[in-house]
Amino acid sequence: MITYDLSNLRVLIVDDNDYMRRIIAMFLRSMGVRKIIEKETAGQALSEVRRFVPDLLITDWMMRPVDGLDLVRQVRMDRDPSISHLPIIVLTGFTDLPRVYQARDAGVHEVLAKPISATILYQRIISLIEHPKPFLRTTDYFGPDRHGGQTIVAEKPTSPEVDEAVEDVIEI
Amino acid sequence: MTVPSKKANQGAVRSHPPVRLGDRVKKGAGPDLRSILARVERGIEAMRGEFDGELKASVVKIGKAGEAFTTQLGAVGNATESQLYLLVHDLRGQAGTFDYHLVSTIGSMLCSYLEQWGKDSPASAAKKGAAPNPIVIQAHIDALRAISLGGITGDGGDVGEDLVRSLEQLRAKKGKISASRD
Repeated sequence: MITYDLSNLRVLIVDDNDYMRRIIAMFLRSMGVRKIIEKETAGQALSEVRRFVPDLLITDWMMRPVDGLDLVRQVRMDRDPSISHLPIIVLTGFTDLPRVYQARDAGVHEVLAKPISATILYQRIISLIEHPKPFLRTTDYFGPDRHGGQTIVAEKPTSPEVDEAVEDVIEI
Repeated sequence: MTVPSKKANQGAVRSHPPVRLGDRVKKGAGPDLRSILARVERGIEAMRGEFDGELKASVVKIGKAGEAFTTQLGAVGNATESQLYLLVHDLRGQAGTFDYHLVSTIGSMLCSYLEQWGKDSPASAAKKGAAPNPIVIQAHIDALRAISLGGITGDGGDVGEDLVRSLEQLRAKKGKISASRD
């Protein structure tokens, strides 16, 4: 099995729950990631994205006052291509079909269901490394090519409909 | 919601990230998955004791938020924006990591119960003839309290099965209350 030295990756974690941030940071450190910054709000994260310029953004969806998908949209609108093209993983307790599509349409690369598994997180990061996706800009979308292979994987789809939808997205 | 369609991408402009994640990563170096998971397990063990305290504190907060939610049922806004929902949503996301799967299960049940009124506030739902039932909400909170006090990990075995079944039965019988009963 190929191994990966992730020590140079710069990762920004955004979650309004301190405990959750610490869990994700611990997972990443266990994978060998050394450059990790944690932020509590989407507003703080947006400033940090421009200052720190991470290689990967991992954000919770449900946050106040600005939620994770609004953060994704703002990142995708940034004029700096190294920011607007950031790989983004969204963490969520929601895995119902409309929400999976909603996240995909905001321009996220991956959706991971809570509770987060370290194995799945690692696999998704390796997938982002091994299968970088081109970005598409249409009249109403900017983000990773949703038709170019595996786009979104919900770790624990809660219904057969979500299973089918994930397969659908993968096949297109 | 947009359903994926190849037509939707006609005329799309394609671009590539200026920096690829792979450019930052050296292959053939770094830890293998087995040693990563061993480190994660040690990390979880180190945080587990702290989480037990966090669980108890969260359940107390959820109890208070539940009281506020049910006593102000006609006045609170969107159910999924309530403090109760946010606290339970957070807890269910963390609990599974520390082997409190029954907390995640019952937390998810309470979240999905509240999500039925996600678009309607309980007040407007009541006007339409149905609103969340405080008894059902309280039963979920009591179950979370019992798990926390009992330190019940995993799926809780027979006890967990009984708890989940009794909550399901309660929801089936008393899931909604009509406006006339308020």
